[in-house]
Amino acid sequence: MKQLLEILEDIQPGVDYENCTTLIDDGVLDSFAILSIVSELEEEFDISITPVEIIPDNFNSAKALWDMVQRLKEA
Amino acid sequence: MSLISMKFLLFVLIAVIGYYSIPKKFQWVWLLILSYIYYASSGIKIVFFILFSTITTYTAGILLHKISTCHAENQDTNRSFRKQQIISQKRLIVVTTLILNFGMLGILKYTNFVIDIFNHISGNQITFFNFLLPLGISFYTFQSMGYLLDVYWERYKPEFNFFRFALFVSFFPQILQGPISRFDHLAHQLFEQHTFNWAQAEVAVQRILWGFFKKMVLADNAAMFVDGIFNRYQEFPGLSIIAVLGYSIQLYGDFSGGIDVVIGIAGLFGITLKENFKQPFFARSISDFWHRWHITLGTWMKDYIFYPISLSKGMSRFGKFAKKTFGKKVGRTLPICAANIVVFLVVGIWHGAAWKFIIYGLYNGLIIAFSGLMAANYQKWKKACHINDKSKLWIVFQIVRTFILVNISWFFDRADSVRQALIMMKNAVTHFEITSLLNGSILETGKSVQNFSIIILIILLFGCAIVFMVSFIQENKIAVQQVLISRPVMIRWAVYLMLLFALPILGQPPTSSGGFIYAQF
Amino acid sequence: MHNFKKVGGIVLFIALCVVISGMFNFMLVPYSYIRVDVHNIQEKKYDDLYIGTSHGKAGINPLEVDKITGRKSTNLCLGGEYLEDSYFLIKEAVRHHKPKRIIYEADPGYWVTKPSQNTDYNMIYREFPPSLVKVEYYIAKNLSADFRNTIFPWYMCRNQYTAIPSIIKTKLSQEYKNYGTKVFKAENQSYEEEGFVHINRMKGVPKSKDNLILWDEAKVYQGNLEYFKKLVQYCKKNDIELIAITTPIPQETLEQYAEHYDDANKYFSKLMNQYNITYYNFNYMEEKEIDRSSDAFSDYDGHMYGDAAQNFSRILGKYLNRK
Repeated sequence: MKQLLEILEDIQPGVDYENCTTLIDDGVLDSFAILSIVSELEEEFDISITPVEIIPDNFNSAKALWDMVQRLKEA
Repeated sequence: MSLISMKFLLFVLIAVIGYYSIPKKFQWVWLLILSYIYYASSGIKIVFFILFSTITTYTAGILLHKISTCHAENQDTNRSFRKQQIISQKRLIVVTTLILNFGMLGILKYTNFVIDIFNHISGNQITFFNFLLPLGISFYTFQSMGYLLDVYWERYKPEFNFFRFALFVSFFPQILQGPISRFDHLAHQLFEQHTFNWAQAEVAVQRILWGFFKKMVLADNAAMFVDGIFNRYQEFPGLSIIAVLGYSIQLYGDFSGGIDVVIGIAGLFGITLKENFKQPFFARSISDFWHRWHITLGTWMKDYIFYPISLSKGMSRFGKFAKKTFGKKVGRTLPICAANIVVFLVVGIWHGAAWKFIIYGLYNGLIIAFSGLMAANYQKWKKACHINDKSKLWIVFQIVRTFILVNISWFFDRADSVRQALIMMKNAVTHFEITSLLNGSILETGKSVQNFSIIILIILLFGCAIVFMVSFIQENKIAVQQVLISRPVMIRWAVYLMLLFALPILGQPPTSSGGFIYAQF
Repeated sequence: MHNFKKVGGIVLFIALCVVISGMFNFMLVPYSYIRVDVHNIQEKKYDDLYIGTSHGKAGINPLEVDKITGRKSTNLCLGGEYLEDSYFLIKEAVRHHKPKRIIYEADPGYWVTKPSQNTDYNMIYREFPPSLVKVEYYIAKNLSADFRNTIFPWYMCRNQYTAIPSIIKTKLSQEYKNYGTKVFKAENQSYEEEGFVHINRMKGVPKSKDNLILWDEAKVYQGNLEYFKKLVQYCKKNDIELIAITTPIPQETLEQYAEHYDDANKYFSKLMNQYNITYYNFNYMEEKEIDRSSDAFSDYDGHMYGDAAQNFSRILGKYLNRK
């Protein structure tokens, strides 16, 4: 989880990632940011993220992102 | 049936009365019948096209689902082999359906453009085809292909009832000019049972009136100048700026006004469509602009073209290469920029088969890509110059800058050719005069119209002021419609009367091309 | 109870709109001689009716024609009258008295353009008294048109706001109530008996070429053809004779755009022949008495001066006497 927060902070600083649960709904992350995150996550955790995963539910909070990473790691 | 015809108003009236009079479980059937009547009224032949899309997409959806469920039941020994087989089967279905549908759209829309290019290169003279573009084909094709991909990606289950699916594709208010709806947002609303609600109906009628106001008072008045100048741009080099500003007003009034009418009509049936505009001229960047202008096209492009391309294997390889070569941050952004340019190329081509639209798309794509690449640097510079992101002055600067950039793109959108667009852009900075605007010589009415053109200018400014005020209030997160509906009846009536009578008093008849600009897509 | 109140509110609101719109109607819609034309067919019994465009309006003086034919006729031609309008004018006339013959004045320019909604779209429709014919006319013409034409019948007269006092004054006068025609008398033209518009010679006014619309068969408006066929059918069914003519235009114009006018003549000759309709195109007839010099016309498009029309009407009478 710490790794994840570092990635997020690096891509778009100045957001309270630990508590925010509307990263997509409130437009905090735009599509550039989303894809940057995906690219970093793929590299960092050696996973492959497909278009199927690009839904608000997976990106609205750091926790949701973390859950997605865990799920994809198992697959 | 044009949205501004009497026939259409009566059609909607009968539709609404019928909708709330019949047993509720038949409401969606009623909508389906109406949608097909509406569609057939502009030509029986074109019904074939929409049926083609409906049938192919419906069948593909069912097949995709069947293959997946068979797989879940069949837990046989060779699992990974079976999985591969299923993925390739599903892919085959999706690709075939996409090719069939986009192929149909492409042939109807772009054959003549390709012939034109071919003729230029080869010196041949192949004659153009005289295709009749079926009503709203761009909109329903995009809508049904979105559904197909969602089912393919298993975001939701397919619709098993063919007739229900047919309604989703053909729902009449939105078929003409969008918004492009998503199955998971629209479909259940279509099939739910709706009870008439006075407040809801009043809000819907407000919206329709407001849409007509924007169309007739803003767009059609602006069109008189815009058409006059663009059609004779060489005679009036000094009016290029006026022409393009006018086009901003015209296009916004026409397209967003039309969408207001559509959303209002859907609202009469208790159905909420997605918003397509969110005060676009308050945008602070081009990327922001596309989040506020033709929103449903933008999100469609994002979900079904931008992300799939960005996440494709090729892009991921390119990304790794870029990271090695240009460093982490730039390398990460480059593939996104590339995908973004592709998306805007498609947006450009979607607008029409001509080089000027390709340039229009590329222009937008390149600006967004560039600002994406420069984002980190901008942050640094802003810090160095002590610019506060939230200061009013900075925001105004951003809005004005974006407005100028958007207007530059309009030259390509409105001019007849790239050449014309470039000449007018040049004239916009080298020439300026205003007398031929005021003395009426640009209005193509053939009579002496000096006062007339000044009156129209005043009406336009007045209309813009009202629309700006409403937009400003909305931008500050106040729901204007909800505020209005809670006012006493006398105030509401006065507002409605003024809006209603503004249409004949201040509005113009539609220009020669007739109807709405985006109804030709 | 709640619904009752709501519906009542809506009814009240609509009533308010109707009252306001009615006021605008009274103030903005001017008294037009179309009202007199329509009144004529309701009140009098005619043998011959002329339908067509402004060329016919200025070129055919029914009183002169009648002197030759010994019949009674009236001129229902109008600037801006398309065949869809002519068709319903005839239907309205038949509702009161069936004529023996209809003379259709065909202007090629009207066949290659569509009725424009940018002008007073309702000017003829508006003068019809309530009837089934009017309903049919409405469905044919207004249903597909801009809703403002229906809901605000004065919509296309809104630019006349400076004339409001004179419009109101006229409408309150006895003249208006009695279908008088004195108000139509102007320096350049006057409206005379039986729907004839007499164009006066004006010194120092240049002749305009503005109205000229050239023939192009590719541009033929299909709606016109459709209503032409309807008119033919209707006349056949009601045993009314149908004749078509084209009024003369200045020789100068005819020569300058010879190809266009030749093509138009061929098109109409063929069309009329196909439906067994006698067609006299006075531009192509060996008729020495017709004055084709530009001196006889008020413009290059072919609107005759009143005196030239006098002369032409007598010639027309002779042709109408042919069997």
